[in-house]
Amino acid sequence: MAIGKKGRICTITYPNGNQFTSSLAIYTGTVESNGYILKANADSAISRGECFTFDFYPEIDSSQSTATWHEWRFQFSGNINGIPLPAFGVQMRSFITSGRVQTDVHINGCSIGSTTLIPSPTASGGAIRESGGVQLKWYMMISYRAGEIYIYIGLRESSTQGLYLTYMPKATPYFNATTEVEFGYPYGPSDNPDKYTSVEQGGQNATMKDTSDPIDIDTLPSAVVGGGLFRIYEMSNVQLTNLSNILVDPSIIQQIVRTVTSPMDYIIALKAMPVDFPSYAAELRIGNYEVSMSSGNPQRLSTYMTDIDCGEVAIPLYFDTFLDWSPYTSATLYLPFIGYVNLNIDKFVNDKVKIKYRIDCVSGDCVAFVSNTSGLIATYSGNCAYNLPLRANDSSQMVGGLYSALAGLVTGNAGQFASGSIQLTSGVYKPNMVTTSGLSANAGSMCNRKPYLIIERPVISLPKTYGHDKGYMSRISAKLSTLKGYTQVEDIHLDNVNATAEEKAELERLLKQGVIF
Amino acid sequence: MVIKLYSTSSDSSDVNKSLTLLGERECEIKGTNNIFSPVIIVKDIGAANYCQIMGSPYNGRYYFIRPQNPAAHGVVTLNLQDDVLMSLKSQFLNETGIILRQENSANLYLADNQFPVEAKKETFFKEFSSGFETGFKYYLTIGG
Repeated sequence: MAIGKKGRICTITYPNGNQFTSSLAIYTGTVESNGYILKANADSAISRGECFTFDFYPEIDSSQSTATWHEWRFQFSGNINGIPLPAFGVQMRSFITSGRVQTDVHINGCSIGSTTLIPSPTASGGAIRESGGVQLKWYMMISYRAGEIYIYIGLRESSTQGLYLTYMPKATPYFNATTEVEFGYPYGPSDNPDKYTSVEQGGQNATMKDTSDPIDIDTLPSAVVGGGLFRIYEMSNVQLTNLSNILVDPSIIQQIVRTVTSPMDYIIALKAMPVDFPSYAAELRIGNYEVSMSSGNPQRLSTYMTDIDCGEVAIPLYFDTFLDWSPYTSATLYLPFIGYVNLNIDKFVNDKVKIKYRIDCVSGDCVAFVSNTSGLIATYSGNCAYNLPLRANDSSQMVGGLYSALAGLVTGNAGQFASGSIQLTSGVYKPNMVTTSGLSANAGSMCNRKPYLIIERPVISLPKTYGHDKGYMSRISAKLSTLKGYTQVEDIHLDNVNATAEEKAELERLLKQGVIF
Repeated sequence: MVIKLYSTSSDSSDVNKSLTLLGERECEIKGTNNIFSPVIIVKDIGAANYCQIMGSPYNGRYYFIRPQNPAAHGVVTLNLQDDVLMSLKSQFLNETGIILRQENSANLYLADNQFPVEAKKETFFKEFSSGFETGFKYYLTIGG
């Protein structure tokens, strides 16, 4: 295979100073110099949006005892599609001593940038020690996309004993960062010199400067459960069975019912929730009666709200083009006990989706906070409590009464608790779950407990000649003589063209229709 | 008036057309001097499909040769169309404009409604690391 097509010039400098230069191609071959076998081969394609690979693998006798540096330098220049490439070079070095081979790579920007060191893969993974010699094989892929050059370098090592290791230590950006090289279409926008940072005309007072406040989720309210007016216990299955027996024990009933007709009047709700609230061991108290449970004391909640941090999911740039944003890419978020919600992908692409739940144990209400790294973006609410029947009536008004009582406490009107508690025995509790899929709350309890994100991305079907035949969106101001290839002008004033009005009109029409420079 | 006859296979939208010179002829301008779409009378143009008219007021402008009537007595009348891209190249290339689409200077963050994407979509699922407990816990609320 050959590299160097359509006038591309490649020069390889071997350790002994020999140069292999071709304006057309470098063919696969073997060059022996100073005992080293150098082989160079590469594929033949490097056109817009594509890569060429260039492999060379010096066979080194790593058993030699004398410390030696071996160095290979590659220099590249030329042009692609008529666009001059800035000259750059790659310098690869192997350090061999006492059977150890250490390698590193330098990208030398020649006249453009300073040398960048890629750490040796063997530095972290341990030096290769093989008595029979180590074969190093460098991979270098060079991609030219949208006016930028990407270099991807990897290293393979193999030994005569069959050991075969592959390193792909770094994707090394030359002008811009990338972690992979893809074939088939160009992506990665070039710097737009027209990106403005200030406004000079119009909106005379515009500064286009603003700051953004971090909108964090408020910390949990430090409310003590019930303020003494009600208590919430976390009960195990055994403790619940134990309690049910206690509540039908005539002697205990007598103790409790001195002030009310039934111990059940004290019990407001029993909920099943997939949430762990902060708690401490305490005796179960019904009215003024401390219930001694043979199954052990339950846990009394120290606060009736808690948070669940579900973590974060990154949405990286997939295309690194406009296709990463809406309406081309869309995202749906599944939130347990809430359902499926459409996510505004624009706020999360190239960022992270963070989810935190806040759950209220009294009502079972939960709020999902959806944030990116900048702050809170959206909240969604649902209910995660599965109400367990205690008797024929239900608890929604009981809970409502509790809140009325709590509100009364806040306003100093404790009497509201009494009136609220009167309503505890009527009404039907019907948890409400906001969902796009029509799930009920109880159904929600049977669904997944972890949130997940569904990202839908378009599938590109890009003809290879798209750029040549239609061009890519550009919207820059440019002198026409600086452009190469297909060009479609949006607006231009041909004031300095000495031509008839008819010619100017025709010229403007053609430039707007698209011409090839 | 001298006319240079060329053959070209370049696209009409090429600013830099590849031309093969076939020869030069004397020609006669028919009617008034219409720079944009002149009509000329010339002898035998062979396979030429492109030409350049020398001298004032055409000043070396380039023209497409439109389909012509068969030659009578070796003389043919040609309807020409000004190729402004070639004729005015040296002038308009110095102009600066707003470029809408370009082959090599792209900003692919700009939405392109002509960009071909398929109707089908690729779906990716990403699960968060934590969530609700897998089991239930029972919470008893007691008043009073």
